[in-house]
Amino acid sequence: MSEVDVVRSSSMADEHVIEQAPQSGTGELDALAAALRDGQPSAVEGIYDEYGGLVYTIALRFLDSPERAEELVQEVFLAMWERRASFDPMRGTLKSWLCTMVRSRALDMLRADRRRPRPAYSLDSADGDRPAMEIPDPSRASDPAAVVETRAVLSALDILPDDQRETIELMYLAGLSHSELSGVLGIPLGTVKGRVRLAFAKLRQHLGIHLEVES
Amino acid sequence: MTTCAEWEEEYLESLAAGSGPSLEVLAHMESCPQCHLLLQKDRQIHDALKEGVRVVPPPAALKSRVLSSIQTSPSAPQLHVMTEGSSPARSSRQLHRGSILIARLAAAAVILLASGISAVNLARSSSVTNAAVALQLPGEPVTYGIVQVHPASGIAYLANASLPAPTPIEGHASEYELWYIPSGGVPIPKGALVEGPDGQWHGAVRYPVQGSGLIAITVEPAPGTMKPTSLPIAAARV
Repeated sequence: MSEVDVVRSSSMADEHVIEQAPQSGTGELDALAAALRDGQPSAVEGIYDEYGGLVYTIALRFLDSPERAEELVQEVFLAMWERRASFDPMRGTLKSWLCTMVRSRALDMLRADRRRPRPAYSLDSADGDRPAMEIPDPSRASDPAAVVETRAVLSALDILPDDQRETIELMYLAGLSHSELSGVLGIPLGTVKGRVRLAFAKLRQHLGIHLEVES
Repeated sequence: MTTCAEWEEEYLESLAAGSGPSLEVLAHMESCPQCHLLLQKDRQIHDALKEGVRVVPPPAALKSRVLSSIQTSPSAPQLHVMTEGSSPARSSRQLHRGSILIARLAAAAVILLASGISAVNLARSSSVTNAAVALQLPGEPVTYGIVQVHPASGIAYLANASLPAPTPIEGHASEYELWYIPSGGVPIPKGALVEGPDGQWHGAVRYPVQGSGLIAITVEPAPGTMKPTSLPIAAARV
């Protein structure tokens, strides 16, 4: 028996950073959530279009592996479908629910293989040939100073403790409020506020000279 | 609020919410020498994070796989299966032929595997693997698709299958139907391939993680059958 050679799909490494898609209106998201609860499969496509990138990015951030991130995205959306009856819009948004699921399952996967979480935003990618996050190029920007500042801040995220960095990343990646972050992370609201403040203090300290010059 | 830390927390929360600080917060931070220094710096960091922390788009094929897995989920309400005799498209002769073909399906799939040309064997892989799989329609040139197997999850995805629209069977619509054939067992219908916007066909099969068997594709009368009525056009061992 001659086995067909296993080939790697080039799409697996097809990773680019794009502008975040404009968020659908609240009414449209409510309709999607209602359709999901009603068991309409078509709702899944709309939800994926809205949040697939977010779920994938969070998965990638935790797992640092496009293949495993894809696997996790599939698991999360399948779990969303199979547990759709348990989604309660009064307890949180669909986005928060998805963030909670992907985070929880990613942590389970990491615990299972005892790997330490790696930040997807690290400037030094794990495999050396795949930047986990695109760093803006000042030479091609309309506002080079702003790009330099963005580069500096993104670089500085790596100095934050894991809990503060995760909080900041989820806050800006998902656009979650502090209350929503409290639910997703499973920590008190005051702890979220404290983490954000401490993270900003560390970023200010780290970037102090740079920001003084810029200002 | 009594401390500058709490004022700053309120300020940062308002930035994240995009609502802007309340007059109360702004009044304190403008008048407090310590907080005043933070106003601009926090705003600069916030702007940089908002600009730089972005969603990474997933591979385009992932969407099809996600939707296929929903379609073949046990809780999906629209499984493309039916009970024997419930289809007006199928005659009693077809049903008889179908029952005979059950045994032949597994045998034919094994033959496909043994040929090494038109089938793929992923049984020895323990991690997620992608492999090319040949698709052989009768009288048509061989085409190819990608099979991705997730052993830990018990899910196999067929993606980017270059197939023509299934030929009608005796004037009735047909479809590409997926099967899981456990070792020593009978074929289990696993839904139909769906055509993506790119004209390629995609599908997913969930199978027992601890089990072993074959995944096969046949052409069946729509909306699917409980037992195969034709020989497989592709097979993969999982």
